Order: sequence, then C-alpha cells, then structure tokens
Amino acid sequence: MSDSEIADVCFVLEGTYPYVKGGVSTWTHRLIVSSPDLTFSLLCLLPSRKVWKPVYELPSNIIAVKIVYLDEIALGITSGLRNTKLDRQMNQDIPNIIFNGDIQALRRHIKTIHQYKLGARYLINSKFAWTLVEKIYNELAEGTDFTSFLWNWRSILTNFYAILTVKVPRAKCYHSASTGYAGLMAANAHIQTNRPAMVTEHGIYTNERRIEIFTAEWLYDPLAADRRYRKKDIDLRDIWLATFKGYSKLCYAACEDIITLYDKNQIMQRRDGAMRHKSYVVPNGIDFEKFSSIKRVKQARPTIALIGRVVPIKDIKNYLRAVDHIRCRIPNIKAYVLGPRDEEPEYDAECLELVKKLKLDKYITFTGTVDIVDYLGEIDINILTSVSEAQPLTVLEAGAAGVPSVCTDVGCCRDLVYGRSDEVPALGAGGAVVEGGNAIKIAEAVIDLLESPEKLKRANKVMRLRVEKYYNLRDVMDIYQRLYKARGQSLVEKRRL
Amino acid sequence: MAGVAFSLRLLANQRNIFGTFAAVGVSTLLSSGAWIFTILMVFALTLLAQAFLDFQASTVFSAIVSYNFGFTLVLTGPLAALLTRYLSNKIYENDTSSCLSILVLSIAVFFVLTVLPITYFYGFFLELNPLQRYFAFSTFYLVAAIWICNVFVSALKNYIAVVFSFCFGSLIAILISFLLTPILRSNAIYLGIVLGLSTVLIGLLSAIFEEYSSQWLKPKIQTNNLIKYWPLLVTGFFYNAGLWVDKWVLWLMDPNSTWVAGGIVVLVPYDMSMFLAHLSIIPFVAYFFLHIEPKFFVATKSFYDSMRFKSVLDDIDKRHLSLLVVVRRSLRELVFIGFILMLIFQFLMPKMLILLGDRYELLAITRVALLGSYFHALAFFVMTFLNYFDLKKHVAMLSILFFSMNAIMTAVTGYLGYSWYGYGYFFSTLFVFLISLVILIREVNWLKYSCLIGNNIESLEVKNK
Repeated sequence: MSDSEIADVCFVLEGTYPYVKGGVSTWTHRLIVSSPDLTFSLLCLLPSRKVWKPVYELPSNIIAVKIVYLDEIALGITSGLRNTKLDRQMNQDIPNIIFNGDIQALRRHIKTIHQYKLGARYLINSKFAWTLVEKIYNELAEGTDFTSFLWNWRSILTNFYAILTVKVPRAKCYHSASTGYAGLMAANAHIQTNRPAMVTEHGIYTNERRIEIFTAEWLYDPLAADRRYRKKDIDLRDIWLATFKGYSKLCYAACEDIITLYDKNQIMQRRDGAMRHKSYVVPNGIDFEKFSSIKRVKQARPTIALIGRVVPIKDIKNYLRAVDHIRCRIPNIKAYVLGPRDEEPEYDAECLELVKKLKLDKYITFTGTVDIVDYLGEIDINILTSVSEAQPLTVLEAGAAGVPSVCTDVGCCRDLVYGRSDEVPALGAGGAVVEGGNAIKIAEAVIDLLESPEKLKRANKVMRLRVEKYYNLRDVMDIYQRLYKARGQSLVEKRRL
Repeated sequence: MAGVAFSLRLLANQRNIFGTFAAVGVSTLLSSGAWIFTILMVFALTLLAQAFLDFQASTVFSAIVSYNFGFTLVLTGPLAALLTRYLSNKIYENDTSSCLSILVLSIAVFFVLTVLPITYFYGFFLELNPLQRYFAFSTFYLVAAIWICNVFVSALKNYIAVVFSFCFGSLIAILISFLLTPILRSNAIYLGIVLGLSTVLIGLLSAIFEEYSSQWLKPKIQTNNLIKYWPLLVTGFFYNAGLWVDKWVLWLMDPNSTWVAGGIVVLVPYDMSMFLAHLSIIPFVAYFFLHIEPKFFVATKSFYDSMRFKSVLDDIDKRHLSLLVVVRRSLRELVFIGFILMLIFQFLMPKMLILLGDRYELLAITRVALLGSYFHALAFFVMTFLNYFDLKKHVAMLSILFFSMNAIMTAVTGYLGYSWYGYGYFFSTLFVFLISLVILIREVNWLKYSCLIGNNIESLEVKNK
C-alpha cells in the first residue's frame, strides 16, 4: 500500500472497520468489496494506542490505512504565538467551532494550525489555552466544579486537535460513516484538500452519545446537585453533548451528501443542522442471493437467536430474561447468542452470571464470533433487543433467509418488520415490534409466533419478499458507486481559506 | 516548616526572654540551618582557634574549617535538595518507612563519591601534620553528614532534641578543647572539635532514628524522577555555591591572600567581614519563619485546597486574591523589618569590631556586606515563596543567576581594588532580589495555571506524541 497514491475514496471511520466487528464495519467492508474498480484508503480513528488487529481481511483495493489516535496530539513548535490579534481571533473561533459548528471559523483555525505548526504546547497547555478555559467556564459552566470542568475540557480539546492537526491522506472524495469525530475529520479533510465529502449516518451519533453520557458516572458533578451554586442549568454532560452536536453540524456543513438509512433519521439530522437539499435516504442492503439460498432445516427444538455483539447497547440481559419467560411456556426452547464476546468482558461476565442465576444453562448457548450463514437455516425467530439501532443488518439477513424477527421499537425496525408507509402492495408483518426494555412483551411475541405455525410461515415469506424488493445490496452498491464516481470527478471551487 | 513554626510561635508567646530566644534560635536552626550554622560555626571556631593556636596554626585551622563547611555545603546541596523533596513526598503519602534507609544510603553515596579526592587532597596534596590531616578529613565528613541529616531534622517533631544536640555538641567541643590542653597542648582543639561535631551528629541521628520507622526498606529510586527534579539539583548546587563564590574569587584574585599548607588560600579580612555581615541575617530569617511563613502557609494551603477539592472558580479566585494580599503584605513587612535590622547592625558594627580585637579595618567591607546580606535575605524569602508555588525551574534559574552574578561582580571588584570589596556581593544580591521579585509578581497572577498545568507540563506532555 502506498501513501503517495490518491485513492478514489477515503473512508473516515471511528472505532469501527476494520478493527471492530459490527453493522457499520460489515456495511463498509461490503461497499469496498463490491467496488473492485475503485481504490479506497481508510482513515481510522481509534481511542488510544494499543495493538489493534484487523478483524476483516482487507481487500486488495484498499491502498492505504492511516490510524489516528484520539488521545494523541503532536506537541507542536511553540507555546506562544506573540500575536494578540490572532490569539483574540482564536479565542472567539474555538468555542464557535466546537459548540456552534461554525464551518468558516473551522477553516480559519485549520489554516492557523498548519501555518504555525501548532500542537498541544500552544493549543492545550499554554497560558492562552488557560484563558480560554476560564472564558468558557464562565460562559457555560459557571457554578460547577472547576477542576472537573478543566479536565473534561482538556479531553475535548485533545480529541479535537488529535483530528485537526492531522495531515489527511489525499483522496478524490471522503466518505464518513458517522458524524462525531469521524464527521469532524471529514470536515477537516474537505477543508484541507478541497475535495468533496459525504456522510452516511447509520444511527444518529448524538443520540447514541446521549445515552452513554447520561449513564457515565464519572461525569456526575455533585456540585450540580446543589442548585444554590448553579446559575445556569448546565453541567458537564451538556457540554459533551453540545460538543458532539457541534461536530455533527460541522460535518453536515462540510459534506455535499448527507445520507441516512431511513427517513425517521432525517428528522433528527435536520434537528442537528443537516440541510434539506443535501439529505437523502439510501437504505442498507444485503446479499439477497447468498442469504436466500440458505436451506431451512427443521430442528427438534424451537430455536431462537440474538445475532449481535455482547455489549450493553444490544441489551443481552433483557434477551436472557425473555428466554427465561419463554421456557416456562415452551420448555424445549433453544436460544443462541451469536456474536463476539470480547468487546466488553465485564458485561459478558455479567451476562454469564445472569444465565447461572436464572438457571438457563441448558437453554442458552453463547457461540462467540461465527458465520451466521451456518446458523440461519436452523433458527425459527431472530430476536433484537437493542436499546438503539439504525437499520439492523441482522434483521435483513435473517429476513432474506426466511427468518422473521421480533424487535424492540428502535431505529427503523418497524419499517423492516411491518413495511414502510409507502410500501405498495403492503406485504404485512414479518414478525413483531414491541416496546424496548420489556422482556415479557418480547417473550409473548415470540411465544405467539412459535405457537402459530401459520403466522410464522407467513412472516417468513413476507420478510423474504420485503428484503428482496427494498434492501438488496446490489441496488445499494450501485447508488454509492455512481455517487463516488460523480464526486470523484467533481471540481470543488477553491475557497480562499 | 510552617508546622514547626506554629509550635514555635507558642514558645515565643510565652512572654519571657527564654521563650523568645529559644524560638528565635530553633527557627533559625531548623529553617536555614545549613547556611546560618556555617556562618556561626566558622566564626566561632575561628575565634576559638585563636585562643588555642599560634597565628600560623590558627590560620591553617580557619582555612580547613572554611573549606570543609563551604565545600560540603556546596557538594551536599544537590543531594539535600533531592532528599527534601523525597522526604516531603513520603510524609505526604504517610509512608516514611524507607526514610532511614535513604538517609544512610545518601551518606554512604556521598562518602564513596568523595573519598578518593578528599583523601588525596588532605592526605597527600596539602602540607599538614598527621593531626591536622585527621582533623580535616574527619570534619569534612562529619559536617557533610550533618548537612544531610539537616534535611530530616526540619521534619522532626522533637525539635528540642535537635537544639540540645547542637548546644551539647558545641559545649563538648569547648570543654574537651580546654580539658585536653594540658595533655595535648595546642592540638587539643582539633580533638575537641571532632568530638563536638560527632556529638552533634550522634544527637541528630538518635532523634531521627527515634522519629522514623525502624524498618530497613530498600528505597525505590526512580531515575526518571532524578531527571524530573533536575531543577532541585541545580538549585542545591548553585545556590550554595553562590554563597561562597565571592570568597573563592577573591581568594584567587587578591594579591594579599594567604596561602597555607601548600595548597589552600584564604583572605581573612574579606571572609571575616562577610561572616559578620551574614550574622545580621539570623534575626531576619527568624522573623520570617516565625511570623511571615505561617500566615503565608495558611493562605497557600487554602488556595491549593480549593484546587484539590471540588470548588467553583469564584471560590478559587477569592482564595487566590487572599493569597496575593498576603504575599504583598509579607513583602512590604519584610522590606521594612529587614531595613530596620540592617540599620541596627550598621550602627552596632563598629562596636562589634572593637570587641573582636580592634578589627576596625573590616568596617568598610562589612558595611557594604550588610547591605548585600539584606538583599540576599529578601531574595531568599522570595525564592522560598516561589518554592511554595513549586516554581522550581524559576528558582533554579535564580540560583544560577545568583552564582554567576556574584562571581562576575566580585571579579570586577577584585580587579578594581580593595576599596570595592563587598560591592560585588551587594550588587549581585540586589539584582537577584529585583529579578526574583519581578518573577514572583508575574507568576503569582498565573498560580491557578501553574498549579494545574504549568508545573505538570512534562508529565502532561508525556501523554502527547
């Protein structure tokens, strides 16, 4: 692989392909594999430096991989610019960039960073950086614990400048798989190279971060609980959320194409600043031929499966509780958890303990990473208990194999299972969608299907038809390949930085 | 140190002369023991030598004493600075189990590093009789060990034991010298001094051993800490060298310097004048550590506590402002009090010189040296404030500046002639005081930044590429 070659497309990826298995990784891999006449480079954002091994075999049309660690930033040359005017400008620009998504301010700032070769010495550790901390604290977080604010702000800046100080690899166009840090990098790439950028949002980044942020104990600020001190109703969690919203806005402003998987996501994108004229929907697609050819093998025991990583967002524990209810009605039920277990070992251990506690050892099997093609033929129902999803590939893949799904009402699962409002003709239900977090409702929906063979057979057929018609990978890939070629050839008017 | 100062204030508040003098004496010894003790001991031993030895022998004796006290102070300076930081870290961690081991190790390391050159210098190079060689060699290492123990002494609760050791040791020196005169004649003083210093050292070691854990644990020494604390090494060396460099320069430059024992040189009039002037610092330093430092400590602790524990910026700013007020008032007070003390000594100096045997010829240098000592003490206090704020690089730079300025300015005065002697020291201390003041005024406004970021930049930058 050569860094000097210019790739047709540079994928900007955050904590995903090719180092972490999952829906976004699989989507990225398929996109690259199905476009052999295009060259790709990967710009991977990872949290910290450790041994990261690719979990996908990299296709030969990936010509370069550049890793950026979000906790590392070059020291830079100077600790002081001795240019009061520039200091004042940056003092205004930095909060505008981070919290308001001001793309013009970002252009100016990137130019300054590279012109003066700025790094951590000036941007994070200098007296200039200190005056900025006090300014932002007084404007946004007055009344909260100052030292906690300081360290959080430094974390925000470290990630921010880990991205902005990077010299991006050259490519004809840039495609980010999310907003957030990857979106900020895409904006950075567009500004540095003047080449088009686009973003495909699977889940809405700010929504997903909101869940994580509000459950993070380390962000709890006890001073915030004492309202005598707080003059503004804001704390560290709001600061982090505002940061991610700012990055989303920057990404939308920089990208020419703002793509998402289903139309409900567009409402949230517009809320975060996406422009209507740039936004459109390109759903996920799967290899229908591959999955539809899986032979169904009747099992002695009714079999259900959750296909996904053993991580909290997939809510494996609720699935286990649902199995506990199901076995009371269907004593010979067999349940799988098909997916990697190494991402969150602590959570994995908690799930195993729950299995022991509920005495589900004879019912549940955790397989680890497997090829689901080997299992789809024996599964009667696919279960999805996730807290947050976009357009889960597992529902589509299972559907193509004739396996209906029982899902929590997240993302576009309702569209996948019941069909979109514009589906003509309306095909009917390919399973069931229930409220999230309710193990009993999930169990009841599963029992309802397993006890009604006719209903189950009809759901099988509906899902197969639906996936073939609306979620075929071939059609989806075609859209992207045309998009890449068009953007790759486009001349972006040089803007004066 | 402030902790002991609070106890000493109680002593001083006893409203009797004993309490006052005890507080002054103890605070001086504990706070700036090495420097003041050097001045007192060199001065006292020189006087004592004149009572027991002929002119030639007393000159050799004084020279050896000056050299030993001076060079051990300089050579143990970096070690003492590092040990002070090590000890304060261990006290903060509430784990002093390895402190005894580090004390013994430090003395052993110093011995190993210096034994060959010192043995050659006193054993072969200089023309000394066997008793003088024994005296020179022993006092060198006894004094060095006392300097090293002094680091631990300041943290001792039983400061009375420390005072007792110094007093009893001094008494032993004098008594033994007098008692052994009939047997050893003029050589009795050598043995007396050695026994006296040994008594001091044993007293200090006993107090230290009693205070600290009796465990013998291998101390964990991390070489990256040595690199991280390089400013302490620089300060320890250059500040102490700066105290002596003016004498070294004039010893070599002045045509009237006295060469003794075939290899060491002294300039008695200058040395005597400087030691006399330095005596004026004793009450000034005592005042600082009894009255100024405790208030400063309270304000500094309040400020740093606000940074350590959850506080809003408003509260931190208020404590910062209080600290600024304390610094401003303290400096004003010190400038005024020091000036008054300096004037008193200027007035008393002629009478003191008469008492020392009509040494009126030293008056000119002593008067200028008193001015220099005034600014020297002020600079020392400002550097103490800077140390409190952990601005060790600034203190290191000031130490180098003090050493360089004192050397250069003294060399210039050496060239200009005898009537200019003392002015080199005066101008250098004035300059260093002014520079240190500018640094303090600038840095004290950025204390929040220094505390959280500026003083930790190396460790923060290690995480960056």
